[in-house]
Amino acid sequence: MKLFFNGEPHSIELADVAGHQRQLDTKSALSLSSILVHFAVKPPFAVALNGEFVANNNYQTTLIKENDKVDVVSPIFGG
Amino acid sequence: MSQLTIYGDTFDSRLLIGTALYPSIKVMRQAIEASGSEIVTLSLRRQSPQDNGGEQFWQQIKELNVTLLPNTAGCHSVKEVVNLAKMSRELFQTDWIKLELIGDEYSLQPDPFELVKATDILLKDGFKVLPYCTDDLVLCRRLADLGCEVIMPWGAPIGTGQGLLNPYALETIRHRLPDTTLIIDAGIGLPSHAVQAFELGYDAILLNSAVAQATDPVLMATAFKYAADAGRIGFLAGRMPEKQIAQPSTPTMGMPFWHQE
Repeated sequence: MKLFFNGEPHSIELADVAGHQRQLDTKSALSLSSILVHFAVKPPFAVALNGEFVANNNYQTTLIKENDKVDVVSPIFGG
Repeated sequence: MSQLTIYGDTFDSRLLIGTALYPSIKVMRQAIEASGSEIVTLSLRRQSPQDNGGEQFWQQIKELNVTLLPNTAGCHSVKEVVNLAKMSRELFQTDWIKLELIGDEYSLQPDPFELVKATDILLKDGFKVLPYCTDDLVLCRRLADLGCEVIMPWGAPIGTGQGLLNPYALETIRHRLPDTTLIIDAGIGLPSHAVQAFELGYDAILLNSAVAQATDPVLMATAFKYAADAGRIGFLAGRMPEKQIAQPSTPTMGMPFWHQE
């Protein structure tokens, strides 16, 4: 499956993704929470999928599709 | 001295300060402490494994125990700012948002038309919006009409340090929006610019580069702390009437040698 994580293209295998939820799968869908585990995201963070904010209580039920764009942001300096 | 009010919250300091561009995190922290500011701005960016997800920065900010004002810097569309604002609200646990929506890449001038649209959406979603805008009276009035209790017109373009380029426009906004908390955001380079902002009746100033890029950021932060106090107190004291003709301050009555020649 191909997806974009923080702007970078990635190709991942379902079997490589720890804790993905097969019961929610069609053939290629993964939960957003599995993707976050796969990429070792560290708190604090917030997430957008294809440019749309995803609330943290929806990570488990949000499915990732081919070519989806996942953005994970953390605090940084700002003026 | 009266307190600064932002959406019902009150603060002793009238200086809001940014967290960017300091020589180091240590200097950033010292400068913020020296400024006496109780509100700091910060942002969100894609998590980078190289800097451990920004963990060090975040720890320092938390230890400062200040109020956080996340911004939407770098956004160029309503969709971007709305979604970044939502991400900020969840991560920082605040409904405050410093709304930046850039309309011109060269001058970093805010897009007034899209800013109004985004502000409306966010206010209706429960955000407390602090819009960064140009010094256009009608724009500011429109933002106030939407429900913004705080409006932040620029003094000059971001990072230029040129001071208040259009005092007339800024003063006009102050006169026409007497009940809105007005904060000069961007363009301040010197403590004297800060004093001028307060003398125009502005409630607070927001700055970053002027301190972070000073030769001695901590010392400059101290200077701005005093400038904010001096400007605000001077405004409250009320200036003397301006005159076109000189008037001696020392009495002429009783002057020796008067008309003796």
